[in-house]
Amino acid sequence: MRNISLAKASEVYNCASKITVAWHQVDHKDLRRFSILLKKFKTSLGDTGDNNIKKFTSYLGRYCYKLCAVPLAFNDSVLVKQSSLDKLADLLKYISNVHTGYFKEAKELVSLANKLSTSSTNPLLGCLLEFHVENKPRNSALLVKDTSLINHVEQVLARYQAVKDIKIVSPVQLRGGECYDQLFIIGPVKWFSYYNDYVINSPRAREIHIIKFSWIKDSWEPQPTFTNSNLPVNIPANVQPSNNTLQKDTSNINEHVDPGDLLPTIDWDNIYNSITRMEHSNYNNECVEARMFLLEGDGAVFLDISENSRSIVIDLEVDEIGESNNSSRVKKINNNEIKEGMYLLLRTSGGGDYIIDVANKILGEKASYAREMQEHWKKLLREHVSQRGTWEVSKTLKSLGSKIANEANTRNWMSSQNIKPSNFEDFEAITKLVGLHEQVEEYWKIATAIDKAHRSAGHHIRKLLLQKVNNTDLTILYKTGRMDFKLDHEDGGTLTAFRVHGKSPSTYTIPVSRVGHYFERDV
Amino acid sequence: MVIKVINVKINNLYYYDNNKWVPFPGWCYFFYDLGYYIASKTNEGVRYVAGISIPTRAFAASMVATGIVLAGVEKTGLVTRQSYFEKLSKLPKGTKLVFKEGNRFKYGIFEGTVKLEHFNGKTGLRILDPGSDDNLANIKHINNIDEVFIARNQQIEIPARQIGRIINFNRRLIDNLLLEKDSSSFFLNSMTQCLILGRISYLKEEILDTIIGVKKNSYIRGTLQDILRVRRFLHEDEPFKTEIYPERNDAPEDIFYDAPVVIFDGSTSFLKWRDYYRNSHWIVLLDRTEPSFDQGKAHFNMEYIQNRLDDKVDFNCQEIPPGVELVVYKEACR
Repeated sequence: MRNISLAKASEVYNCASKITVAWHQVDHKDLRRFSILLKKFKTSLGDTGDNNIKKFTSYLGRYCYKLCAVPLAFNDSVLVKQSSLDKLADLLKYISNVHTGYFKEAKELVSLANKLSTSSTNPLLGCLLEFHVENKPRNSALLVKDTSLINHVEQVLARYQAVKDIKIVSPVQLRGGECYDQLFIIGPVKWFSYYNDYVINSPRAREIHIIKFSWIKDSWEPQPTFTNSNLPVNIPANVQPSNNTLQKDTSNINEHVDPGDLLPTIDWDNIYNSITRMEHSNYNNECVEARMFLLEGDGAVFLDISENSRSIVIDLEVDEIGESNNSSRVKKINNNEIKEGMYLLLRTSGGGDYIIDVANKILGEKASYAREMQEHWKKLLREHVSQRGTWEVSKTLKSLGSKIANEANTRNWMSSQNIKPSNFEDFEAITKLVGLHEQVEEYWKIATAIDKAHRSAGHHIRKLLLQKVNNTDLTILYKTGRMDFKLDHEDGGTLTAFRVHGKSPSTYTIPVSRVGHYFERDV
Repeated sequence: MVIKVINVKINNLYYYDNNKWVPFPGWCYFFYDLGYYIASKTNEGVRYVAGISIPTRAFAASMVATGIVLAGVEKTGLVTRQSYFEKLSKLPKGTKLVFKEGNRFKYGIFEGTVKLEHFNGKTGLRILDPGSDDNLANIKHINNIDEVFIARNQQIEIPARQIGRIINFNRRLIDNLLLEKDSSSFFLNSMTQCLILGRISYLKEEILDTIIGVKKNSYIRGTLQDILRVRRFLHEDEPFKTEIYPERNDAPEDIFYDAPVVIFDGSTSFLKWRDYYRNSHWIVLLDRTEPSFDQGKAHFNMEYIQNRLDDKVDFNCQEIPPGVELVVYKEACR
């Protein structure tokens, strides 16, 4: 976020002094039935361990969440794809054969999903329009939880005269100094408690209107920051939530869904299984341990977690000036240090690793020869490992003079993600093992040149990116969680920054060709 | 005893926005008052800790620092002066210092301490200007110790003949802020009164780029830098009052970054730096929109539970601004 001027900071304090919060509840009979039935269905299933069942509930859950999270017509193409409905139909057939006890409810859920997918209404949108027609606010904003849908919501709302000027914002944008007369929140406010409750307790609007479906439980109680404030606490006094139902809630009030139940859950293993199924059939001997990172929207990427594996990230929490080099906003960090909220840079056009391309340019005519030589000793080392195993090979390397050979290091050295051992003694031991000892000096020189070229390439790209990031309006990045950066470089490389939303608790063995490649999750 | 908070009144500050002068809002004076109050306290064995939960960190640290710096004009600062003197006395011989001679500041070399018979047998610092004709050291005792500071660049080659630097100040602004107080001492004293650990780019914009003014017949213009005299925004041999250090950097060299009052501008700096400043007063600004707010809050409350001696304080503030929560307590120095 850019700095906030004194005038803007005063607006923030003004908002805090006059804030009012109102809940507007809307209803929809079929969606209510769908939400509550889905909750009951998931509870009755428990943990079946059946991947097809998991997929079935995951598709439905994500659809239900989206319907409750954005003011878009239920039949909007971004909310439901025909392919997903087809998959649901297939999974329903599976349930009818394997889990007959659950078939009745499953069938009703699919039927409701199909029915909802044909509806061109959404009461959330109706409520938003109605408020704007009646009150004609001049400076209003709409907060949407699912930032990947922001651009689409903006396009849709632009078609309605009453809300065509409303600004669509992400939670991150509400940390800045821009203030509004009214802020509309779609969905329960509890969904935003992941952001320290600041959306309400540090408001950027004088009025907050929460528009949500009536069967979703929601409340907000101001929490003091300090264990024992010895001076008057001034936050709660200014926030007086009111409960204002614009549209009458006529159905059974005892059936509710918790906000957390609606949030899509991540089944890491399922994503891994679906994405790597194809690659394993073309298994080419080289696999690495990797962690999966969830990216903005429905994207994900596997990143190598070995000690020296690093990626370029943008960390907007870092100061642009005054901090040491390792605290730069654009930095290359160990993959294990990548955190939620950072922006991971991935090459999304041109394919492959951008650093390798730039490094090859630095190596010039020697590049292909150097890469071949490099691959040659690694291939020979891999062959030894596949015949004798990493433990035996690492023992042999030790006996041949290696200082730090062990299973993990041996795996790293044979990986194409790693360039060379740091110490000459380790490299020499490898060449002795694979029968290249006579040319050890030549191989070492080449590996060192590649290493140097990679470092220069990384430095060069970071420099270009840093210039780009510092000279670019990052509103799109804050708003949508992703942004393309076209580098001013002769090959016109494009990198995309994706906000990181989480990382898998466990690691996976994946083909090296998968590492660093963005993919869309099947949701 | 209730201490009157505002001795150096600054209720006539304005800022320039959209081609017009706008009075400083009330919340700015709250932060000023708090800084003034904390800086007015001596930290002999006991220090004050203030935690403030805020909806934005914008201008909070700058205004707290303004209060701290202007409190320095009012306060004798005996304990602070004493500890500063002791700190300089313990420097290794040969450390490069900047000291005031006449109306100019020059570089000098620390030559150790000397007993001053004419000063009740108390100790003074010997500072040599290597180019001086008489080769006699300058002596600085506790009463004028604030005319000495450690040179930021210890590698500097001190010229054979130094003219020294005359420092330019915004005298009109300061005179009108301090009114009847002695502004000359404000200009020449050079001692870190306040250390801010925060984001330099943000603070730089607030302190250097925001035009402020004091209303007289016309508006007397200036910036917060005229008051704060942040060292990193000055020439290296100019007197300063405030240090700013980047919140995410590695540990600063203690020799440069120490102060009687430390402002943690945000949770990140508090989480990272709190253990380095256990003898200073603390003002901890916790911005609720920061990603690390929850962590900062938890650690602050832990400090409160584990370390507080007493939370009876006499901070008399007329009104806490909306959206602000405050706790002040006392803790033993370590």
